[in-house]
Amino acid sequence: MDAFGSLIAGLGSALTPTNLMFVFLGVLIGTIVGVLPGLGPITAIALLIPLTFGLEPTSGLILLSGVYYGAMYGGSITSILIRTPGEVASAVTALDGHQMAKQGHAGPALATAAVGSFIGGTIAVIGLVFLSPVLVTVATSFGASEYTILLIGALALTTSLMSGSRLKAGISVLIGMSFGVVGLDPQNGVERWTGGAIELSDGIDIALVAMALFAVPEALRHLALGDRQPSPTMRVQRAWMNKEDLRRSAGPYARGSLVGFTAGVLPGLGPTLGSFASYSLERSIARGERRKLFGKGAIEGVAGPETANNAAVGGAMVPMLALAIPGSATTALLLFVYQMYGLQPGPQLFVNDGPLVWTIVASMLVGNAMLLALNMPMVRIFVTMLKVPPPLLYGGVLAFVMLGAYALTFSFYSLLLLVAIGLLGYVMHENNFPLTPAILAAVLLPMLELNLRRALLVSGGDWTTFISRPLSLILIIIIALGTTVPFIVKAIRSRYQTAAAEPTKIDTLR
Amino acid sequence: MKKIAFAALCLFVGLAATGCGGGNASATGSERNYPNGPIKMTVGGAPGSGFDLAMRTLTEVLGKNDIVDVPTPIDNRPGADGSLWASQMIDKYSGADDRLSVTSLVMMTNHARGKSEFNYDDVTMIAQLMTENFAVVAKADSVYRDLPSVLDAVVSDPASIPVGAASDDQMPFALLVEAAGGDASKINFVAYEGGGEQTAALLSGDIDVAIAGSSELLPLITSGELSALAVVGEERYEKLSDVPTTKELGYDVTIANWRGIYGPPNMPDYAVKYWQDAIKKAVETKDWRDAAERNQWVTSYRTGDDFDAFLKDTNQQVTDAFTKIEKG
Repeated sequence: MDAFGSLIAGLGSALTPTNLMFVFLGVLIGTIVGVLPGLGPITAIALLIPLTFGLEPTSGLILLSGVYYGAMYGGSITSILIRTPGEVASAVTALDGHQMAKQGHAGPALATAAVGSFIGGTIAVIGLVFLSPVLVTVATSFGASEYTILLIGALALTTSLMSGSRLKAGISVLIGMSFGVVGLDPQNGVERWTGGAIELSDGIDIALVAMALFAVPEALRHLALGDRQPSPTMRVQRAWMNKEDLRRSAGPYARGSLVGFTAGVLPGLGPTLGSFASYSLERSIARGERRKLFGKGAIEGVAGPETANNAAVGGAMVPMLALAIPGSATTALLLFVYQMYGLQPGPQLFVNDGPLVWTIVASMLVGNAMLLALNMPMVRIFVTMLKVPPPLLYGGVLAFVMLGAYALTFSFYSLLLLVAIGLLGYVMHENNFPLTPAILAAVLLPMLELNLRRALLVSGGDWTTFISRPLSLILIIIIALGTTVPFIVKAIRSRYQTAAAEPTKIDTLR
Repeated sequence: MKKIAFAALCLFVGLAATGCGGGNASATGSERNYPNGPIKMTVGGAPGSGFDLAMRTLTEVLGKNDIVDVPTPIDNRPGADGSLWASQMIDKYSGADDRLSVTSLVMMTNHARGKSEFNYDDVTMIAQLMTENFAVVAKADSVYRDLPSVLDAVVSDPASIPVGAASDDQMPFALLVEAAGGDASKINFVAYEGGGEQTAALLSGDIDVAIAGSSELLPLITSGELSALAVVGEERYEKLSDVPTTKELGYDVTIANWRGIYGPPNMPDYAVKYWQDAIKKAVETKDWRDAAERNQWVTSYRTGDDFDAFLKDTNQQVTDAFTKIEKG
């Protein structure tokens, strides 16, 4: 209807000097907490809430929203440069991003992450403005059965993140899942694997698992090597994307926006699942030589996920603003902030507080542009981080990770957990166990269990609920086709090829 | 960039320090000059939780209106719905006069369910701040138009009607089912975390009925997507004035959530008295009333025998409800 007019009006008030300042402050803090391993948007927002108590609602909300999407920009930087994701949604970026950096392509990797983030973020805001009413209907038609099916599909994706030994990858998945089991049973509150420790009854925070499995092993590895100087190949870096990089990134930008936005709109999925799904999608549609490059520095594996996690942030605002349904812990905190200011998200929000909400939505457009402008010149500066001697760099990483772990629960117990899981991660890493599947499994298992059990409770224990609900059946068919068709196509193709390629085929399968 | 990063480090270390710093503040004096040092306000929930908001609002009101002139730093120690911190208060700070915390009905439910070994009578309950009634809610176009029809359905065929409730909100519904002559242990409860998840499940048709704090589902009740069938209690809720109470409908269930301030066990009387007076002054200020209005709190200041009687009665209802839910 007049969404466009309202957005323009919102832009008008978002561009006042005061509001511009809060946008800038928000995205700057967001970028910084995104960069710092261990400090994620949720910790930053929680720590900033007391400070925003005294601010005007508009300023406070612009600031905190900026922190949220700004963090998605920052998260990729350390993923790429030092294989240490700044936050969980950027974990998958480390796979190819860091390989690019090792080959002297850190600049293009950072640049494509920044451009992708901008595109994803902007498309999401546009979707939020113009498609909200439709999306709200879609989001609320997903029940526990549909989520269960989606999550099983997502768990199947973990296979695409595997490299090297399948057995080791499988063990990694099981270890990740076992982190997800710790805590209270989500339905009847029975303690599981807590050993009676009350500190473990809330479960292990996924951010802590990510820090322990990525940042700690990587840092320990470098410190154990004892290198005083960064490796010579890391010192020479190409600073910018070339035409070829841009061409290769265009498709992932478009697909990542769509995948990420969808994951954001569906409550409970969120940026982390969005970026993992985008990576798997890019890998599965890549052809021939390009596909072999995944895990060895494919720019598509950076462009897609980084677009997706930003698009997911915009998507997550849809159910939060329109239905007061937060899709993640971070949006739950933002919802709380709205309520703290006396604003009630829900169908009436745009009617009661239209101008304010439009200003915040418009500020997200401004903020995304600001982040691009802020990050582009920074690429060169960030790349110089690779010249920092490893003992300093990784010692610093460990310090920040410790700080971040402490800030999750404000207790010493988190530090113990971090060290314990971190050492396990180091041992796994040194023995070539892939760690990304562990993280994805730790994210997915609790969600899958929750929804499976809800679906069965709701249907009175009837397993046919998954095929008797039309939407759930459609999802099953889509996933079944998505997983089998590529194999059939491959089988048909290989029939027309000579049998000479037998040994290399095993390599590709891996 | 390094400068920025350094600035950020300072910022966060600073924030963390204001939240977590301090160390061992000793007792802050005697009856005569109490308080003469900082009083540590510990929140057993994360920043942004319900506990946190109540405590931050209270300390802000106390400071802004010059009711208390010593610093009241807030410290977040989240874990197990506040039980983690309560156990610290009991183990480490017995007899201290410089520590306060905030708790709620969840302290009783955790105890009744065996999740925590401590209950309200293991600490010094100082004053009640507010109450929140529960409400039974259905989708606007649901076949269930009123509470009796919901309860009839649960009594006759419990499996057919999934009831969405956060695990701690199950007991008022269990008491209602028992009051209607049903078996609480047979209710098909589906656990959700908070009003947002319940809203989604009601809209998608996963569940027919939900029970939650009356303010939690308010936005979609106001807009007409959901409808409130009854408010659990004796008096109608201001914001849902056309919704009948359970008492009116003939069910004798009145249990309500509450939040209050507590101190460590054996807290000296002069400190208890001081905080009862300070909190009384605080809840009478305009700042508190504004905050209560914004956050949909129903202020109900109670102390002494009145508060004790309330706690005892509520705890009895909680214990009864869980005995009934778990007997099956």
